[in-house]
Amino acid sequence: MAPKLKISSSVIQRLGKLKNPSTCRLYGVIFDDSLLVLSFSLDVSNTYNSRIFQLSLPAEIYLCGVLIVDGEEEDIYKAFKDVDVTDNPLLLKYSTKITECNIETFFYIHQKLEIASFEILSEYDIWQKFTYIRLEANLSLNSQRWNILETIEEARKNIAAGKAGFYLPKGNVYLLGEDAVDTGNSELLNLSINYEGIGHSKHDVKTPPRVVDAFSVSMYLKVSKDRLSDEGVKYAPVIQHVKREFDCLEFQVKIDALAFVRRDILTTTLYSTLVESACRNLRLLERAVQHELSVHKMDSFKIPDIVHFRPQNIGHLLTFIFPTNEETALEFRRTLHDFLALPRNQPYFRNGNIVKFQGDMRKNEPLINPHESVPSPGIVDAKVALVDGLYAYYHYMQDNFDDNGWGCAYRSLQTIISWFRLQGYTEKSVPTHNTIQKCLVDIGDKPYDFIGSKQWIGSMEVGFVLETLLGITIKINRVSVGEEMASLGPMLESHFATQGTPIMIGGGVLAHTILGVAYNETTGDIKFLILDPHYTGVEILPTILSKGWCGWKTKDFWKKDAFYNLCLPQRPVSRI
Amino acid sequence: MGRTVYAEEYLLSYLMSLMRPDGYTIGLILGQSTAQKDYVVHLARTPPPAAKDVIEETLISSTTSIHSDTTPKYIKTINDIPDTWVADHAKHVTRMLPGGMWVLGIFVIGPGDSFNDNNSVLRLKSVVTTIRKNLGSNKYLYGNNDKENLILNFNSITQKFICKSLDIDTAGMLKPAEWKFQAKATKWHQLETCIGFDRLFVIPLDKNPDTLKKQLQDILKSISETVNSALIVIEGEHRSPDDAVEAIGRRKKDRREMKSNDSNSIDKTLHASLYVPCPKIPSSNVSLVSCSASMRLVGQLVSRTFVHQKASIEEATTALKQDIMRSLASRLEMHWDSLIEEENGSPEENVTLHEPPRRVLVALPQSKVTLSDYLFPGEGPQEALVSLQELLDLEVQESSVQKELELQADPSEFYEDNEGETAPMDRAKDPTENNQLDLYVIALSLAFLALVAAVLLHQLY
Repeated sequence: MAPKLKISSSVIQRLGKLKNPSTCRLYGVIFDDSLLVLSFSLDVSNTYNSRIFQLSLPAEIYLCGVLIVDGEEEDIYKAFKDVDVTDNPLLLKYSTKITECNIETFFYIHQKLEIASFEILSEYDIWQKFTYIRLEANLSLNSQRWNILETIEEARKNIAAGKAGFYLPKGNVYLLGEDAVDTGNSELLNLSINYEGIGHSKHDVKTPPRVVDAFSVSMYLKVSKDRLSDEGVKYAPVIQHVKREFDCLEFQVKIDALAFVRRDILTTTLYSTLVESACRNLRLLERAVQHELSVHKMDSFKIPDIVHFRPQNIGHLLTFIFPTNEETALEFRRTLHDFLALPRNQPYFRNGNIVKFQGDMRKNEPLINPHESVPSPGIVDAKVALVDGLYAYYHYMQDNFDDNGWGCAYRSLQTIISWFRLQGYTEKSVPTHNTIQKCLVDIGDKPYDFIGSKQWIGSMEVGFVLETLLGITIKINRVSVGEEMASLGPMLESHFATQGTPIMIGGGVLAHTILGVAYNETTGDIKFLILDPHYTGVEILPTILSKGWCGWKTKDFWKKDAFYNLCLPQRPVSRI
Repeated sequence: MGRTVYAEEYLLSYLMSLMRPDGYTIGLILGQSTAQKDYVVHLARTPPPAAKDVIEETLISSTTSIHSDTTPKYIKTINDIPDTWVADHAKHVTRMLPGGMWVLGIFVIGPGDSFNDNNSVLRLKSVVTTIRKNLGSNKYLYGNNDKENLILNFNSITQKFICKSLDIDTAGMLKPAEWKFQAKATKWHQLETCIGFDRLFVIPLDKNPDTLKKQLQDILKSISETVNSALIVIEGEHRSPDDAVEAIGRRKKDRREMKSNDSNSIDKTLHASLYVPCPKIPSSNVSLVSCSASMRLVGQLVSRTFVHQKASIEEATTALKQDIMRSLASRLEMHWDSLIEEENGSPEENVTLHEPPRRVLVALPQSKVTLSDYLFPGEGPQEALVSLQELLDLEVQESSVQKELELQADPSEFYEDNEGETAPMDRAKDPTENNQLDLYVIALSLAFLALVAAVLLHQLY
């Protein structure tokens, strides 16, 4: 029987951006009797292919089929051979020439292609059904001479051979082997959605959270042998004492592996999933180490870090280890951009883009994208344009710094800079008030005694600092009276659609951050999505939302007779 | 309420057999102790110091050796009990006990009630204190339990026995304890595991060379940290420390409708697994250490422990961990004691294989509880019989020595090549290593030989 086919809405969106005929690979997860397609990649490189890419996928997501864009399916049967996870690979044909019914899907069953119908799942639907499990562990290894690769390989084989045990603090569950079914704990895990931690109220928000709420798992390694097993040596412990000078490589290998699992997964299934995730991680590491060994002298050799990303619309997290050499890393990022059909004019795999996990957030760390939990503006037939990507909400009193009454523009600036960081455009840290003041003194905008003062800054200063510290160009938009704000709809819409950066607005009065606009062209009805830096409380999303510190405001929000300056940061191009 | 001590019934006749009209016999009480109860598995007479046999040399410590010449073959009064001698006996016996069992105290058989005489009481207390001190000298032996120690007095005239417990912490107060001889005093749960060691310890170049003993102690310390951090899982079930060992396997059976022939589960061996945690770290790192030498601990250690019928998971796991460490510590201690001189003299490169004695297990008569003995390379089960006889006063058949649990290593495996097993073929492109070249040469030679052979064959047929 043919499996049911489900396709993530993100795949459909990405298809819409394809222009040229190409052959692609499809990746997805199989559950119950369904195949859920989550993402695809292009065949672009001879050296980087779907087999290697699979190591970067969370466990349970596999190569599952072939996508043909505007082409013939000549060599799909050969391509099907790479699909290990199912006997019924998927063929998806997409046409850029027509707009209706441009997707055709077939399952390859008994040497024949059979037409399949499909259902589209939104990212929110998928998030409700699936979650991430994040395995973090450390292997302390040492090797004589330089057989570091063999040592890691051996560790991986041990894990694959069932030497690992896992512990899931949620539910206090130990997973100690595939035969755990015999020990009675094969109940459903029920990794239900933790609404509290992410600040979602259950009803109104239809996007998955930006901060990933992965369930953490820790690892154990079995040092005892199994009953009746023939593994290893049988002799009593002896000590081989070798007196010879040699270099020993002591290394700590970090495992940071992901699995994409159903929230109602059975504990018994989870064991092999976690083993697979650890093995993918270590294979990725082996490849990275192999590369590093080929280009570095031993004394400067380092194991690069494992990092996770979630580029917009890719549909799932990705795990990579980038070369330590910046040139090579750039080359790899370029390959990835092409491989995933991501534009080359915007960073997706820089340090700032590294995905944030709920478990890694410090207490009172600024919230990420609080506006995503704000209900819709409530304007009929509105054109809506919002900030693109991620930013952190900076406001009064954070980091134990009392700027109540004067620091609002500084905070708005910090929010903007966090956007550039989180989009990967810069790795500069978010500047403190003092750094901002020093910058303005350095460029001669302010006298020396400005440093350490409690003087306000305005949109112009915000622009100077962005230009000076980040090398970003800005546009200043002057509004002579607040009433005029109501006419800015098209301008703001265009800004968010093309630049997507948060806007700082100041002037005669208090400073704010504008994150979006909604307006009706015919009625002239307009609302502004405002992030208010004057909030003095702690980082509790429900409070921030219910008290309107982040929310849609009408044109009456602006003082009719005051003047305003908008600082519109421009998105840099081509820094991947 | 005082402690209750349960001893196997047949031990009473053993005590009777040790009675003598004109003197005292002293020995050790061996078993398991819990909060309120003690389970005695064996009583072992301390061998008379003057006996001339092999054991003497190892048993006797230098301080008592002069003394021993004048000691008669039996002890005339309580005050004549040679406490360091008994303490040394206790240490040797402790090595033979499974984890979770200890030298619980001492017994004295003689014509009189020692507890009625202040001097005798002081002497007995001092013997116990000396034992505790001696057992505490190597902490990985886990020789001292944290409970009270027992002193049993058996009056050879009245044939009455009195038992008291001694709490070292409360200024040596003696408390009455109830001693009961019983058949099958407790049912024992038997736990087994087998640890596969393979770990490389390196000695950094900039570190002054330690004595071998110190190096082995460092290894013990490191292994102890690993073992103590481990999660122990019995029969694949993770359970709370307070659960009873008895409960293991029940859940399984409930679901499987309890097979009728499966009821005698207590006689089954419970298999335990050790899992070492791998706590997460912020990022990977590598460090290069220049070393002057390496020590690779490799081999398997078989552990078998016994816990009383009502034991908790925590008692069982503690016993297991202590057994592993006690066994490893015993071997290494015996090994360094056996070395005549330090072998640090030779500065040139060399490979030394240290072969500590291996563990064999011997079941106690009328019990499934097994004790260990350690055999050096070349020693056979008959050596085990000698020490069992001397140290535990046990006559056992050679056939009851379970000697195949841990095998003797083949030393040639470790000497055949300086690189040997520890350094498999290097794949890294390191120009300073020419092994790879050697291997190519070998491979080429082999290929050439094959070619020659093929040509020859071709010509012949």
